[in-house]
Amino acid sequence: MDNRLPELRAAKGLSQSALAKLLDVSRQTIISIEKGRFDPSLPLAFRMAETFKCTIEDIFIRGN
Amino acid sequence: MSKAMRLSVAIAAGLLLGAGLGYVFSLHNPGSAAIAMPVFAVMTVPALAAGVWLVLNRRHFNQQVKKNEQSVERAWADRASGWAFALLVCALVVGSLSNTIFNAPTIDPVIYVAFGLAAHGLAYLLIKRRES
Repeated sequence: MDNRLPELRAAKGLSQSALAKLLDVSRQTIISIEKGRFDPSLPLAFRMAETFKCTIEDIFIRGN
Repeated sequence: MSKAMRLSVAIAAGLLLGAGLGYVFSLHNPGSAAIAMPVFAVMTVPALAAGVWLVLNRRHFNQQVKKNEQSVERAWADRASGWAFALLVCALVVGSLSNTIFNAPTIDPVIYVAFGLAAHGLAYLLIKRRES
C-alpha cells in the first residue's frame, strides 16, 4: 500500500528510529511500511494518525 | 558486550546446543555421535542462535518494542511458522511413504524436530532478506 509516511515524518522532523519509539514498534517496521512492503495493523495505523494529527486516509493511499 | 560479540556468542552457543541435541540423539542411536553432532549443529544453528540472540538482547528488545505483536518481525515469524509447518508436513509424508512403500528405515522423531526448527530459522531469514 502506498503511503505518505516518509513525507509526514520528514515534516515533523522525526527519524525512523524516533517514530518507531513513539509508536512502540521496531525501526524495521517503519522501514517496511515506508517501502510499502508491510501493511500496519489497524491499531498501529490509528496511532500513526494520532502522532501526525491527521486521518488514516491522509497517510495511506488505497491501491487497486 | 558489543553487538559483534553478542552475535559471535549466539552462533557459538547455537552450535554447541545443536551439537548437544546431536549427542542426545546419539544416546538412542549408538555409534552415530560422529555424524549426528555436526549434522544437528548445522541444521539447528539458525533457530538456536536466534533464540540465544534474543536472550542476549532481551533488554534491548524490551525497551525498544512494546507493541511487538504489531511489528513487522512478528509478521515474518508468523509466515516463517507457516512455511516451517508445511515443510514439516511434507517431510513427514515423504518419510512415512518411503518407510511404507520402499521399506526405508524409520526416521527418528528428533530429526523431524531439528528439521522443523531449521526450516523455521531459514524461512525467517529468507523472508527477512527478501522484504527488508
